[in-house]
Amino acid sequence: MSNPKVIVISSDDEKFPVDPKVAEKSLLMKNMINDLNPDGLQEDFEIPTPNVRANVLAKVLEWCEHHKNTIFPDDDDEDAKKSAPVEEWDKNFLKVDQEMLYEIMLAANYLNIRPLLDAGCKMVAEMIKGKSPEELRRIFNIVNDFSPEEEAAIRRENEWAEDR
Amino acid sequence: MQFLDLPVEIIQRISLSLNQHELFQFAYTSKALYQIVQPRFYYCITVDASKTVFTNKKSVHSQYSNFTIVPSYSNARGIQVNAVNISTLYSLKQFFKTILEKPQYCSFIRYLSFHEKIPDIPDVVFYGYLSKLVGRLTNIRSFQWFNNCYSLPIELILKLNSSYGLVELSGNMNLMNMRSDLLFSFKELKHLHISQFVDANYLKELDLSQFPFLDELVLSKGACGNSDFQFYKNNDEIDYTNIDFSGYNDCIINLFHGYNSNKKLRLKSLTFKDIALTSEDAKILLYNIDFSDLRSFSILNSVELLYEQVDYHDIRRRRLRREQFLSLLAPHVCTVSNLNLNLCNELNYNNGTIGFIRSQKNLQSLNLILNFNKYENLDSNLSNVFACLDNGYTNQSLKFFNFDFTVVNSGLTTPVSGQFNKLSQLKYSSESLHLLTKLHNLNYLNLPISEEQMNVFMGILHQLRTLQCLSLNFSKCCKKQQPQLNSLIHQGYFDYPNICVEVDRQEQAFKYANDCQSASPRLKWMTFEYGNMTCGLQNDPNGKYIYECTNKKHNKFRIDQPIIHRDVGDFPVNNIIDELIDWTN
Repeated sequence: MSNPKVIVISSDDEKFPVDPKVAEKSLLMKNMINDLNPDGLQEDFEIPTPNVRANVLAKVLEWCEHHKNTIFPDDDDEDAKKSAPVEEWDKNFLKVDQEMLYEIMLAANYLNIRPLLDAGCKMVAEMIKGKSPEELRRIFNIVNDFSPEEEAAIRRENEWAEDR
Repeated sequence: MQFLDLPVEIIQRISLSLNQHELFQFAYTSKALYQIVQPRFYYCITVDASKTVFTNKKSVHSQYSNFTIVPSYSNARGIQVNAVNISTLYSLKQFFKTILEKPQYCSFIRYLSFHEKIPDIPDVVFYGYLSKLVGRLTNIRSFQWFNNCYSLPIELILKLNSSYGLVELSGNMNLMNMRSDLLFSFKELKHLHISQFVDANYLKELDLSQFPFLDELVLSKGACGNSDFQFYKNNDEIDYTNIDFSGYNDCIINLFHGYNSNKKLRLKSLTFKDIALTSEDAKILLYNIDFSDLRSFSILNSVELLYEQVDYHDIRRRRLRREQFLSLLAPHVCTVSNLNLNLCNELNYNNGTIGFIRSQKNLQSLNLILNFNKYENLDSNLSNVFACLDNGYTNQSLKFFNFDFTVVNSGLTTPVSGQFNKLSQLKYSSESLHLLTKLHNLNYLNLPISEEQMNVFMGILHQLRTLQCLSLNFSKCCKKQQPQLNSLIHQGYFDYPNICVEVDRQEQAFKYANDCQSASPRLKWMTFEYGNMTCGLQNDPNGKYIYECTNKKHNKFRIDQPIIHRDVGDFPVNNIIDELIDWTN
């Protein structure tokens, strides 16, 4: 008998059968599997993910597959003082267009895959590095709604933190 | 999907990994973002006026380019947070003014740290601001005070009582006005670090049973800086025969004086610095502390008093204690992964230390500094040290080994039949060096060695297959040039020829780097330290040469130059070492 699979179903009803080990990278799915199958997985188990589209879910599961043997420091473990720098593989994996990146991060947040979310956050932080507010507005498509007076006011308020 | 469609908590998470400048640029883009990011401005604040913050800014290696310049803190989820630093007097005053005008911002502060060097602010003004601020820090988790120009008044610490979640309290605390009716009641406190407590008697008033969750304890008689415990190194030669330790001893007995909980303290990390220890202290520790969870144990710059009667006027009337501090602890403290030992005694008798290391079963990182007598056989001492690492456990687990020693001119021992250690003749026998090859997982090694012995060392280097970072210290064996004191000619004249020496040394170091690299291809970083041979020359920062090997498959550097010389000034060696220590923890 083949091992039972976890079948993850995307919002557009596409089915992704994966090893339980892969699915368990997501804390949400891990808890679901363990709570609903207290005696261990006997047969295929379906998990619907109504907020994740198929192409995003495919990406997320690809990440889980690659990291199925990686041991990440525990979330609540305070000894894990430093989070590791973003791995080369993760970096290349997350070299996608902005919209996809955000959707992966949202999915990681929803499915509770902390390391993937962290890697995504670092990718975005990388994009922010060394840019002026104008450049950032252009990159992230943000509209400047500060009036000159308001901007002067907040700059004055934060004068203490100016690196000089 | 747009950036601003991301949930607030994700945007805040992103903002945690931005540094100070980027953070503000990011916040100034729009009102919505400013609203989200503003609490982050105050989340983690350091006050540090030291200049190094600016000189370190260049980062070299791509992997380390995301290292933080200002110290970083971790929140409960283990994500690295870059601190917002205040470095000038103007900024500091502006900060106090802003935050006192808008008290709601005080609750954003989670981490507040004052470093060794803070802006030069008049103390009356400073305390005035601080006393207003401290009482309002309702959400603070960590408060650090490493400055020792301004002492931290006990009243200020007590004002922190309004915050229930305080997890860390560290720094130079002057416990002078400590009274028993003043109670620290930080129920959540996990990390307590007391330095510069002035007199051991003041420790009596501190009731450790008030902190049921305490898992990290640091006790230091001397003042501490915020970086003191990261990587410890000491090159001073000390003569213990004439030092009076009164005031340095009895720290531990006083610390546990008021401890009346029926539960033992379960500590994960324990550090003593600048104090004097006796075997009596070990008994007190064993009585009060449960060592089964201990992961990190450090005794730095401390002295063990071997004699019972401390009568320095008549040595003959002293009586040797039956046990040593570390030999008493050894059976109970044996699962430590991170061990830093620099504990010496009047006789330079190291068996306690060596036995302690031998009893370790899970040692991953070891910083060891020992003192040896001038009149004893140096090599047999050294091979004893290396042999104790081969206990069946440590040779598999040890990843980080930093070793240094001092040969002390002890007044208590006399020469035995011509046995005489001249430091310039430091020699490891190949047998003792060979003991190092039994460490199968060693990543980092720092060793004092003489240049003459490089060929012996090369002989074992190819057997250290996992070594990534090697640091050799030649300075112990270099002849130091004496300053010409009774001369009218300027010292610079005598120093001048040494510039040629420096060029020589650089070439020599480069040659060593090449040799080492070909002997052990996994080596990535090498440091050769010659020490300050020239006595007055300015452009010789400790005579340290650092090389980085880049002919690895993931390199981004030029292939034609496989080994790159790194300037000491801009190369984050300490960061690499921190990183290596981190792997091991």
